[in-house]
Amino acid sequence: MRALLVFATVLGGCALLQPPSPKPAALTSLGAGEIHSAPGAAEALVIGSSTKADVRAALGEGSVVDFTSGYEVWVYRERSPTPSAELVLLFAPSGVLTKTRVR
Amino acid sequence: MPETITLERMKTRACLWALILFASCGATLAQNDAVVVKAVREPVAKSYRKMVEGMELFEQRRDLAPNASLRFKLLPRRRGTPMDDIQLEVAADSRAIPLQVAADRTFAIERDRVALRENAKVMPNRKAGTMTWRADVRTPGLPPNVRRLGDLRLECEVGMKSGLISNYPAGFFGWLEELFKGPEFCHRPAPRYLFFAEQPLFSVTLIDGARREVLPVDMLYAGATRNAKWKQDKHCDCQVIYDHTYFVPLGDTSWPDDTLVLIEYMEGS
Repeated sequence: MRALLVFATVLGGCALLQPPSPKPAALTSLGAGEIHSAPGAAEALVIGSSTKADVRAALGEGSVVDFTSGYEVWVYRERSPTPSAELVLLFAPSGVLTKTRVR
Repeated sequence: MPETITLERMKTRACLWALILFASCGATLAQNDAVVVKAVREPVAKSYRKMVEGMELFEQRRDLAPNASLRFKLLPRRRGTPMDDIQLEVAADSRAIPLQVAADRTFAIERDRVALRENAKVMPNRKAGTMTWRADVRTPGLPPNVRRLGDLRLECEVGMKSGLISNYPAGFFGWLEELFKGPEFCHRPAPRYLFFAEQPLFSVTLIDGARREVLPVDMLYAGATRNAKWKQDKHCDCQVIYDHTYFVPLGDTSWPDDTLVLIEYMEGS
């Protein structure tokens, strides 16, 4: 019985020493312009229909380059320490998504 | 007392130097006046000699683009600059040679010994800072949205040799000017030499047989996606056509000269 108790204590101690397991990707917080998956994010958008407000609600703020023509390019990048996949969106002057590109 | 004398001497010397500088500036201005097109004050102008040197380099480096021809191109730099009906000439002391500007704003120049000897300027009837210039190297048979990498490599070399690029204030690099602004600049893996598409662009793809690579967005729009203050950059000669610009990995030899550079425009499929 005593041996069992010692074994359980050691096991418990080992568990305490273990580094915390990484949180699921969906639960880690993202910075501006960051996404978990470029292809996944692209699938959630509809060319010719999604608006800037829709995209902002789904993906948050991207890196925006706005041109005098009224077109805007929004860029999202996968969160990664290495060069990561990027999702590039093109909004027409009307504010509707017209093109997407995943790289 | 001796200090006062020294101070006086210094003042006198300073005045003398100022006079000499003033006189030399005046002489330079007078010399320049001889070749200035009177219709426009402070015209944008390029060195004819350097452009001829660029033409010579084009001939030397034809292996990059064996079937291509060379022209030079004018592009808008300041908003509201009228780009139609541009008059252009090689302005030397003793002669002015008119140049024909095509509808696509390209032109060719001929070698002229007198113009070279007189250190002529290539001068349009537009003010400085309103336009920028590029070499235009085109292999025939490709649509406007498809470029050949060897053509672009040669465009960069000729453009740098001809002194066409004005992204920085004159003299910014001092004695290092040649190092930063010579054709060698184009041999770097990813030199920041701006190319201009015919229309606002959305993506650029390199194609070599089965190998395809979409360029990262950071290589478009003059790198604006990584520079939050890109609109304030007054030195870039792309101020009004940021949306046409792209870089390519000119010095990356894993891409052969026959690599195609496919440009997808913002408008259209």
